[in-house]
Amino acid sequence: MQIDFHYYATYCAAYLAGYSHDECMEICYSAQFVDLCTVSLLSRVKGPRSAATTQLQLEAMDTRTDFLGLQYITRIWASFHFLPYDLYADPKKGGKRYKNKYRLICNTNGALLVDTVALARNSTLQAVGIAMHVLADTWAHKYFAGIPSLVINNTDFHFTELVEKDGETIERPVKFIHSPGTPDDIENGVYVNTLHRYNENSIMNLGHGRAGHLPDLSFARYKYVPAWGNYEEILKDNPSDFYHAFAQMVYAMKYLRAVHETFETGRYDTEAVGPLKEKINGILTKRQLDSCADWKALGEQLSGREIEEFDLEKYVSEYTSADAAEKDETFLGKFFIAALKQKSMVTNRIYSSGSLLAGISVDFNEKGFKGIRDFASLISQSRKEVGNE
Amino acid sequence: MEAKLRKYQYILGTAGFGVLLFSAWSLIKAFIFAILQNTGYQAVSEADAEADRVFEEVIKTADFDLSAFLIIVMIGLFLLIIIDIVLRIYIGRTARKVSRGAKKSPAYIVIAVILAATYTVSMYISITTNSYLKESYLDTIVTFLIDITSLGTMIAVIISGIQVRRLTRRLNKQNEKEAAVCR
Repeated sequence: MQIDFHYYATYCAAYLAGYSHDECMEICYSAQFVDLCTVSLLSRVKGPRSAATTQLQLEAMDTRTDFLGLQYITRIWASFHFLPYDLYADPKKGGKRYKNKYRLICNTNGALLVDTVALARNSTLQAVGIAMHVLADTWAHKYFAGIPSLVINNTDFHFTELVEKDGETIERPVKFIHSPGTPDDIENGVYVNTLHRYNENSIMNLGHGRAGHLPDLSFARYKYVPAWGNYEEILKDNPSDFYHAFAQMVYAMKYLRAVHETFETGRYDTEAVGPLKEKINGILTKRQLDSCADWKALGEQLSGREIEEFDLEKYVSEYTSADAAEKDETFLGKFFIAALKQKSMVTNRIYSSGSLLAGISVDFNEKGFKGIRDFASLISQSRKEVGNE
Repeated sequence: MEAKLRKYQYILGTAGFGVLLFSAWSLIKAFIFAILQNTGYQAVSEADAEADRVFEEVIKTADFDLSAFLIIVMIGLFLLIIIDIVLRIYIGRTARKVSRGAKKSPAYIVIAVILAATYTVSMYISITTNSYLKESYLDTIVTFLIDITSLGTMIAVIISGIQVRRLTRRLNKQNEKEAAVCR
């Protein structure tokens, strides 16, 4: 998903869940920040590099796709953007290598989603924002995996878009071009995607690169044949999926506010969202590359307050000027801790399922610290939380 | 059924690409033969001692210009290679177009069957007359593997081409029936 949903729509959902305007701003900022917290930024602010929640295109191109490089890439993308649905799925074909990659396919309402939302309970607003980003992305990015893999993420010429023309729905072939700087031409169905590479582990085969930005466009309804799908065609209905994502975010945030006792998959707060259904669907189905203005207007209508434009530098000076002992209490410090927790949790789940695709996971708290320095702050945080309990 | 059709379309497209690649191989082989092999009668006689003996008889009794005869034979051989390449390109391109949903006549399948039969016969003759047994063991294995692979891609085009035609017809009939029911 893009800034329109991660920032403005998340604000709207948080407000409907009962958070105040200021809390909504922290949550939606954190949700959007997940798409911007790169190693480059962390180096600049001298933050923990392991807290990276995404990669710039150039960073991704630079990362080696050998065994360790793939683990590094998977830890980021599977933890925050392509949350695996079923780590114990059985594809009934292929060896262990294929099976491990198949198990990383993202989909909605998986067991890991419950763990992700539960991790944010009784935690910071930054953790809530990260959880909402992950939740929203399970809807947009479903059927793709957060690992470079041709046999999972590839698409081909069987790709058509369902468009409304003269009151009728027609199926129009999608034309893909490979010009990163060119915007998508939504009127003529020409979209930018990554180059086809026969190398299984090419970075071009990461996530939904082969489908371009289509999964992130709220108006898009399209059919395609995923590489893992045994030649079956899949219909992706983004307006419906994005609406469900929104309703599920409201439900999840009410759980995080302790309005509900448990968070269950497959549940959506249609009651709270219902009165706005027409308006929301109007935004989602409008053919435009950027819905920020519409979501912003809706959010400001709900809260009666102005929603600031997203500013990447907003909390940087607070973090950089804080003393070492106080960094974890700043906005970015809390975000980094929450990101490390999320990454740690997902990596641990993947490792426990018998896959090394995200690397090895060690419970530092129990086994004694023997690992990456960045995670030391996570251990002291968890000890603090245990002490408070 | 649509999934099955797509599967055979993919196989047809891939096999068609393989046939195109092997047409390039035929050209490269002919080029290497022209550059590296002697075009005199010794090259022909090296492969088979019996052919060598027969050829020497022909040379002794021949009352025509041997050089001209060899030139004509070489030109004929190259023409055959060119025809082979052109047919392969036709088969490969048509297979790829059909795999993307284009409607084409089944002529490419018929030609593929003829070519596959020709290769099979030619390989059988090569094996039984020991043409594969050249000086280098590696040459033998490589040549045989490439020939088998080339034959395999041609067979894949034939099988998947037939399946695509069959399934497309069945799907069209099914769609017509459904359209008639809706009316």
